[in-house]
Amino acid sequence: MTRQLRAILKKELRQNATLFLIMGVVMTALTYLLSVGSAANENTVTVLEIVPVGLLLYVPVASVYLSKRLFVSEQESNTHLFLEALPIARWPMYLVKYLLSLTFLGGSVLLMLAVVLKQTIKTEPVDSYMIWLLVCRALGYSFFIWSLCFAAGFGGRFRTTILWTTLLVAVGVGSSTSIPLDELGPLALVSTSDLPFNKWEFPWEPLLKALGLGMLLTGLGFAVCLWRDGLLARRLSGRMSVLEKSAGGVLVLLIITGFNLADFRMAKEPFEFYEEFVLKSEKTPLSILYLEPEHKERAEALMTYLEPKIAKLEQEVLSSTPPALNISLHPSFDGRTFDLATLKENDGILWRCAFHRDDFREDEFAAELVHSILVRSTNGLATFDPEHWFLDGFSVWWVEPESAERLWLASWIANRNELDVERLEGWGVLSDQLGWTAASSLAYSAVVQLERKGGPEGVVRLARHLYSTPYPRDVRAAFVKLRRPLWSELEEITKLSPAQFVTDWKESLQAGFEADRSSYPDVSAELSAQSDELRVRVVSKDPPASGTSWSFSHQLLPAYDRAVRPQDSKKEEFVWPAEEKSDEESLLDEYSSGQRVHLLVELNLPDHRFELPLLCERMELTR
Amino acid sequence: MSEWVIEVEGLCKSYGPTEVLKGLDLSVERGQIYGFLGRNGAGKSTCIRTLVGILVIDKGQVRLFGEPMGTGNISLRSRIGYVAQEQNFYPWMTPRALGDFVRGFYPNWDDQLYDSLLSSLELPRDRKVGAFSGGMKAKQALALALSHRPPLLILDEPTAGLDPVARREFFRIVREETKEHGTTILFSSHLITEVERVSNQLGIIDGGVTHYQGSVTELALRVKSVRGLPPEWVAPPEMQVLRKDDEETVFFFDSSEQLPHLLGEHPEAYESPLTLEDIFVELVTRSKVS
Repeated sequence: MTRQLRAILKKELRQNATLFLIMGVVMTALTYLLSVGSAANENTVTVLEIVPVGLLLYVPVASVYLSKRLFVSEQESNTHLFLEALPIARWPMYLVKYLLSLTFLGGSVLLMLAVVLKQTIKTEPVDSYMIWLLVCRALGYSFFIWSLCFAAGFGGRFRTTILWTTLLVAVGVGSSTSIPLDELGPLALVSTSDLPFNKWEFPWEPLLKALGLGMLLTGLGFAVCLWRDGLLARRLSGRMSVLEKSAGGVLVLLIITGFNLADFRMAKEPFEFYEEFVLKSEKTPLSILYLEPEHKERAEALMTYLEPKIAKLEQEVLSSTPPALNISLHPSFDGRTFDLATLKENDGILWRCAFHRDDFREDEFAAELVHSILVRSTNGLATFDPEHWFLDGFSVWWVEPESAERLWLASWIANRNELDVERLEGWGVLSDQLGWTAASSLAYSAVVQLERKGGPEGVVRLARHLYSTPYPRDVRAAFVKLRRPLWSELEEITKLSPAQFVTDWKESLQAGFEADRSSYPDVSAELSAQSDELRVRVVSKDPPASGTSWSFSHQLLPAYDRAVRPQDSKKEEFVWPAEEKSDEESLLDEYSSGQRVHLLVELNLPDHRFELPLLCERMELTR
Repeated sequence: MSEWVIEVEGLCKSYGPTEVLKGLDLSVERGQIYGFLGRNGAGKSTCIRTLVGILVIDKGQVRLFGEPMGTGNISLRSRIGYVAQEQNFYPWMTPRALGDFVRGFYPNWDDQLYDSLLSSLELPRDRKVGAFSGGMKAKQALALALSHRPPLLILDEPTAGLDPVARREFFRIVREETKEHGTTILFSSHLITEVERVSNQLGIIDGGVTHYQGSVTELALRVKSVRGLPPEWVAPPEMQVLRKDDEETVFFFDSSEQLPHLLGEHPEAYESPLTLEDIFVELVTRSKVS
């Protein structure tokens, strides 16, 4: 048997060595270029981010090609008949091919990891356990995908239909339901939000699922190729008839139509309060739950404040009625904490806030509410737009068209950060670095700049342009986006190029900073992290005014691509010691090494509404 | 005492609902050149594919060299030289590469023999077989089949698609290469003249069953056509009649004495000569003759 297996292996290597070499070289070169590019990009959090992307693209493509080359082609060209006539059983013959492909795939995936890790360890702490996790994830996922392609390969002429149907169903399920496909089964192994960052948790569940499903699919593939002397595999091979092609086309159309219909039928009932103490607006779909009769007055005041703004938004910007808007009193919140609840069973928006408190900031809350309405009106896709600075800025502008405090804050930020068109286009990253309040204020200043150039009607025109037509829920969104770019409309409104617009905007912020320079303190913050201790030091050139305080907000990051919610942070506030130029605090045993935390240090001046962000960072605590 | 190389009893094989072999019997003695004759679709290739262990049998028995044959009997399979009806070589391989590859499957592989066969068959060693003609591919398959000196050579319509000269050349080489070792040969064909010329033993199958097994000479002696019998004549029960019309009656006689006896009874009757092709047609278009 060994002699025969060696002969088959030698033949396969001879036949496929060039292919393996080309695939390996191309994959290595692309991975190297990507990792070098990723390392050079200042917005890159970790070079390991390219690993899941690489695996998601490379492994399926390589697996489909290998299964075509080693199994399907054999059936199509009838060379399997030559092999079967040799004195060797079928199963070891196919097992050699199966293992060879799997070995190549596993080897090339390990090579990919090695190339990325070589680049990563130059700048990031990657320990041996993290490497072990990466290897297990990559190999587990590769085994599953290869087994899927191996089994589908014996589908012969139907394999393309099988693979496309699988892909379409996956895309359909992903886009029509809230099922997070990338967190399910073997796909969770290469989750873009988990693989590059999870350095401590062994992925037992997805790995076992990948191995289990992989073995099941492998068994299925072998069953098809061995059953009744390969009769089934032989019957499935060959070319598709016109009837089969038509049936395949109809199946694909049925799947697409089915998901569209399912999507349509899955419209949920709007959320509604059934409690006793609820105020309902007659002009807008707005309801406020105030829990106790004593809070009715505050609820009415909030209704009076919000109702015209929402009605105007519906009339001037949105093309359809806003979703059901529900606001619930949350007694334990402070006045600046607002929480957008997740509604799984119902449609609409549910905010929780402490509107009964004296320190409740109704303007900031209204901006968040408008933001959520616009996001909901575009089925959530407005926030996926990498240029969604306008969404953040417009939400504030709509409730506070003239906010000197916001512009004051924006000028401070502009003075400390480099701003250009590229940074606005990557708004998600900049926004993350600044924190919500600072980012929305900066975006607001850009909208004010637009108002200066194009008037309020120009701002509304751009908002209508972006948000009045609901985004489609499927891939058509990409085409719609291509058809209606933000900058082309903005250029038409302002008659300025994007670069010129940004230059003018920066100059106006700089002018604002210069004009009010004396109001800005010369303060900075430093952060150091050692093992289980976080130390923050704030330093001022001159002792700050009496009543100045500073705060330190921190929270554990679950997965890197998830938005940081301010209400999830723990905020420590410290009064700046009188006549002192610096202060220092540390946090002990709150987080352990290997964990990633979000940190925000802000300065609170006595006469100003907004805190000045001194430092905003995501950090991994090193061992 | 005879030594059976191939013994097949009641072989049945189906492809899904299609029953291809319906209880086929076959026996080949050592040293025989056995011509396996049958129409297209008679079940010859299926029978051969079960003999060489490619197909699993549904029912019946197949024994080679006294051992039961099955897909898992690798050692037995390695004692067979097999030339398939169609050659499905890897087109990128050269005869040299093919030899390197196939060598690994046969413990008795003889490199020198393979090399000399390539020379005598005039096959270029370093040309890709994808560029070979049908005749060259058949010769290549023969070289591979003979190079491990198999005691049994099974050829499944090896000369289909070859011109008459190439067919004769093919069988000349087969005979030359095997006569020294007393190799048993079973070859299938639907070309009667080829079988008549090459084989000394014959099996005729049709519809998945054996219609005749024996020597070609004996077959010619037993199947006879007689003309001039009176129209009202009725064959006695001991005589097997394959076909009867107003002018001609075709018999399958049990003994050589039956024909002279019949002609003696009917002086106006006379024997009409039959070719092997006529006999074949008569046999496969009539009911089974044991």
